[in-house]
Amino acid sequence: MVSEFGHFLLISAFCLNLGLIANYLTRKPVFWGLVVLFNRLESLLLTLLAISFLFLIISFITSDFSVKLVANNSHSLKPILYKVAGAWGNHEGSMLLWVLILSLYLFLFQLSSNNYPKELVRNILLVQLSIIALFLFYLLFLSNPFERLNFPPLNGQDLNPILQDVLLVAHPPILYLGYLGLSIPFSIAIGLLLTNDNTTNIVKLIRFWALVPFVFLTLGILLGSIWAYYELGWGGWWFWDPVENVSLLPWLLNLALIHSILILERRSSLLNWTILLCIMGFSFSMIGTFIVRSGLITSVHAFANDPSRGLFILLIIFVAITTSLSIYIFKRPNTVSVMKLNFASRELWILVQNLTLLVITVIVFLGTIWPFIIEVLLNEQVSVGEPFYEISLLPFAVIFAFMLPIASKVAWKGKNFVDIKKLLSSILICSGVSASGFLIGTLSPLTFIGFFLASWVCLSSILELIPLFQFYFPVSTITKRSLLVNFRLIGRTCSHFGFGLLIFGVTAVSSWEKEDIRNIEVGESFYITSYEIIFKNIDYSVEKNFKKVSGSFEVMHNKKLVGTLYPEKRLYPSRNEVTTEASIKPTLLNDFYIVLGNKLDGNAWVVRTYIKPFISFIWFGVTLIALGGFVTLLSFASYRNRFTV
Amino acid sequence: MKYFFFILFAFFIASRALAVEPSEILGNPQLEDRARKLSSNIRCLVCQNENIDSSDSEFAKDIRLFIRDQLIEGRSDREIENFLVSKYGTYILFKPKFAGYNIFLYLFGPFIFILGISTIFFLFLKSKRGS
Repeated sequence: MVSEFGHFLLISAFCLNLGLIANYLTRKPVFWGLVVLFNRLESLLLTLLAISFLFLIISFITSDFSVKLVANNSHSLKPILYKVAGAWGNHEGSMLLWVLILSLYLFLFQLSSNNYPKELVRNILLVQLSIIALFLFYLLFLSNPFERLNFPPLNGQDLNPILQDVLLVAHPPILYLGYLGLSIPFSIAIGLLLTNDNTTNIVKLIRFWALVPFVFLTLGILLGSIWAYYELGWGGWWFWDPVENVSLLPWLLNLALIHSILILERRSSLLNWTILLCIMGFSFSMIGTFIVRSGLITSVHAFANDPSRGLFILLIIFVAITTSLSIYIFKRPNTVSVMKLNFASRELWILVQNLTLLVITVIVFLGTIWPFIIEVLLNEQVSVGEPFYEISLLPFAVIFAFMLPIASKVAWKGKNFVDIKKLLSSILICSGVSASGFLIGTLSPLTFIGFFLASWVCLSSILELIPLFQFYFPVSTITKRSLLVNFRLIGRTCSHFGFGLLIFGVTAVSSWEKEDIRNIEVGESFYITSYEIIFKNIDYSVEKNFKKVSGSFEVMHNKKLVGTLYPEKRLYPSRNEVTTEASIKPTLLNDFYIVLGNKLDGNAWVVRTYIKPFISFIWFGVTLIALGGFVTLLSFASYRNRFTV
Repeated sequence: MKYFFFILFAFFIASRALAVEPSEILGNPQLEDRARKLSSNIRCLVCQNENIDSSDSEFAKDIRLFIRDQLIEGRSDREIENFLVSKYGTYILFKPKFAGYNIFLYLFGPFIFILGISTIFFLFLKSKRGS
């Protein structure tokens, strides 16, 4: 019953959705009776989808194997946590989550849009509702999560063991909050174009709704990266796999948007470009998600793809994107305002930053679809992987990082360049700081450049905080205005500093990682640099839904215990799959990473050990980038109160 | 019975090869380094999207051993890559060769960059002239 009711709710949601669209199109309330019951019908749409999603989760919890999705992706012995999370660890369930989050954003946007002209809001909601309708249609007719089986199996086929992890609970929903948050800037842009409204200032609106997905997308990508780091078993944190690339594309465009909107705010220029970025951001989050699911491109993450339905969804996306681009081409505001540019003006540097981000996006996108293009056009097969991205993105990443402090230092409409002496001396200081890196390890030219950029970005963003203290000392001058500026300044510094730490972590890990692969017997020990690693024992045990063998290793430094690691191998009988569970002991400076390999003759095992210096700086840096976005969002709270205080 | 299960289980686990194995590693650290560099660019053709260095498959193992044999015989990196390409096609390289249609792949990004910089420079000049 539960699943039929869930299906029924989905159908009602679809009808309501179409009704709402008709409602907005005709400007007359179609469902008048319902308007009395529910003040906002958008909230009803959200409620219907939320309950429907809840029912899907209930089917998973109760292990109702007559539902096809549950039978294919769950198992009665699976821990309850993964039963719940299993609801979105597959194609249909994640599509339902996708639609649910879209309508959540619809609802939230409506709540926050009171101060804007009715006509504009109406058009924006209309666009958002149409997006929801497209995906709801796809969900209902081509990937119904509530489909029943005529002959239910006794037990399910279980969830892919690689997915059975705590992060399955958090990673997909947060990532989706990011991907789909981009739908709001998209709807705002299209809504604005349809309204022909040149008077309303939409800067605040776009800024807010571009920052929200930025925070979630950053965190979502971070969680995915951490997950890959400990799950895939050889300790990489970014593989340039298509799935990772396509999550990066909307993030890069969103980052460009967050900065270009500043020019729109300060100089009322670049409206067209900003609108285009809004459109491209969400377009790429759709293209990205489905290009991988359609099975057109092979990926190591291919657990939720289905080629048969993929082409249809690509068609939907193609229609959506071409429609929005045509609206852009025909209705874009043709205000040609030449903004004054100067080498010392921030707008020039932000333009260059936007360009660099665009180029990085283009390279990543082209690299990702290149195998597909070549296969279709020339019927040949090529691969594009990590070495390609490293070599072609490096120059632009360097340009980007080097520009950052300059762009953030020079003034709006600035005429005088920063003191050249100051600039040179800070470059000198940073080079000195990074050259001292050879004290820790070998220093190749690339490593040096990496450390220079890291210290260059970190140092300059800290220096930017100085004006903040000038604000605070004369206490009487603390107004809401200064608080507002301060939230933005703190947020900016936080993100930029985090980016510096990220560069540092990436450079350190890729230059100084230590690897050791050997056969070792229980009781033996070996050294990596000054760390002694002792293989204590090996242990077999049976867990609820898998069997495992786990080793225990002690890491000693100067006769002191640093930590004990328990790498495992697991056998999931339900799928007859073996997974390798690396064990990681993170410390402030190094991560110890041990993977248990084959059993050899006697009591010997193959053991792979990595020491990864400063990898925690990568996670910490990216967290700071997201936190910076969050702090900047706080400034909007003070926006609202500004006039009342 | 339970013990039997464990032995069976241990056997099953042991039957799967792991990425680079200790027995494969060359005594000469320089050659091993070159082998690693080469491997990171070679795709495991039977896997989803992995290089042979991190793959568990038999195919990857064979190619890893082949590369090391060739290195010991004194072949250059380029010779080994060319041989693998002639045998398995360009699909096996993760970094496409800078030749033919792949030139477009490499140069399109820089081209957009130059185009953009020129546009910005043009705007810059225009605004200068305006003032």
